[in-house]
Amino acid sequence: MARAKRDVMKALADARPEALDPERLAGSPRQQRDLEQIISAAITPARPRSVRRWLPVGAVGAVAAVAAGIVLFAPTQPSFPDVNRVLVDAANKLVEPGPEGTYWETKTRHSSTWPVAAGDRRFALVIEEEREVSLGRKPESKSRAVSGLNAVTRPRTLADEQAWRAAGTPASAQLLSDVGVREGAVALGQRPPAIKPLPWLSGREDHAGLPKDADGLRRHLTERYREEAGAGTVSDAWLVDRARELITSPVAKETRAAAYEVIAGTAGVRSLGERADPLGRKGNAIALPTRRDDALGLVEQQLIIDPGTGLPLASQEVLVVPGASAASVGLAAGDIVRSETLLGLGWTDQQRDIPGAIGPR
Amino acid sequence: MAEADQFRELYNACYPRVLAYASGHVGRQLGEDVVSETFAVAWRRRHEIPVPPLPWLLGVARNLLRTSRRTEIRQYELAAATARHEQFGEDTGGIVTERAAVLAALRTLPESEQELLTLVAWHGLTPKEAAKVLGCSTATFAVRLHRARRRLEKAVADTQDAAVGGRS
Repeated sequence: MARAKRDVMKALADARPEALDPERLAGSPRQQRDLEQIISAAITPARPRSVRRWLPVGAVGAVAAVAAGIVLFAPTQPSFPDVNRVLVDAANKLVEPGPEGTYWETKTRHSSTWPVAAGDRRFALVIEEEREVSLGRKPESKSRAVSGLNAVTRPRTLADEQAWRAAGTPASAQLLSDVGVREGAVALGQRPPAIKPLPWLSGREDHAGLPKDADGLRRHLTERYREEAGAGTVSDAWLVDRARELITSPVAKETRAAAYEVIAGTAGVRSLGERADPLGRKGNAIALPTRRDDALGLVEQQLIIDPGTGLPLASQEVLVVPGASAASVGLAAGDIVRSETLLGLGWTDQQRDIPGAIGPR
Repeated sequence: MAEADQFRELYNACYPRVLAYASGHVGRQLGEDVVSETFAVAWRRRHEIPVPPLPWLLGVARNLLRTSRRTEIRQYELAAATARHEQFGEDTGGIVTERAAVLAALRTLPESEQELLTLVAWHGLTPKEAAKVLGCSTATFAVRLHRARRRLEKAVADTQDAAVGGRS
């Protein structure tokens, strides 16, 4: 059978599935909704391109390559301090953690928002708790994490409480997700504290031997990620969280400063100016790149740094574009959906008794 | 609000094409999430967006798809399988039309080659623009496109022969 030979690229172009025809994809309600949310959530101007004083040229290659061409938007004058300045200042303010005790203790307050369903009602719950982590300086000291202190799970707003009441004040509710059915329910009300044993301070990695420069620290953390995750590329969010942990750890000042440099080297990090943390303490805020959360939608992580001590007062996540589940319970762009607030840190010689706690003492 | 207006213009002009690209990988539903994330990144980095913006936007979307593939493997694979089903149909046995033959042939190529070919044939990018999306040089892209194209030609011929043979 004779076949007329035809340009295969033309044949391929003609074979494009109808579902991928841009004309069919234009003008959906979601298109407009997303646009308004993206613009309205961005209360702050983006940071104009600037030279990253801390980084070798290679690290900003991707940005620099683009910067060399024509850009659509002319850079505006910065309204906020340069993000590198904020982080350099914070690193410079860090002090050595003082004379050593038996345990390094950090106390934090955690809050997270969850879209849930009970019966035919949907609403948002907030899970709140405090944690105390005390890590022994020596292998023989009993390191532990206490979670569930002053813990409560409650409807987020008055409207959420009304929805919960309308559902018959159930003791638990089903977690919602944007990616199919999420297994598991969350119980409302209070819960007792729990104690979990942990490795000692240098049990996971040699704190004293940690790199004291940003490149070395980034390499070290990347290797640790590969050990933990097996493979794959380390995400910025993971790096930033580990860096933040180090800043509140009793490691050398230089390592903590390097951790701030790792954060500054994250693509898309920018300054937000002065913001208050969940306890109302003011600090310099920086924003990290957005990420997608299965339960909530597109969220932006923000760090609020105490200009006095250089310590991160809080890390919080702000909703940028609510996902379907979040939108169905009334969560909107700009809502703070998660936070971890630093209550205190330092050396201590004893671990306090936790009455009623579950787990080993 | 001049910046916001300018961004609206860019958004409305590019949205359908970025969505077509993302939907081609993971279907419409997850594709819309990826596009939303792409433009959130674009708004934040609006001072870096080059002219023309489309290859840059597709590059951002491509990175997000890759990240999503790494971190949410099951969800991604499910969405990708659904997208393939939507686009290619379930069964390609008894192929008669050229369109079906081309799609069936495309599916036999490695994903990287499918991407090269569809960036040009379905998403209307020039080789220079497509090279920017993939982060390679135009020359490298041209070589890879040439190779992929020849493999597609061969696969189309094989598919048609198989279909003809199968019917006789």
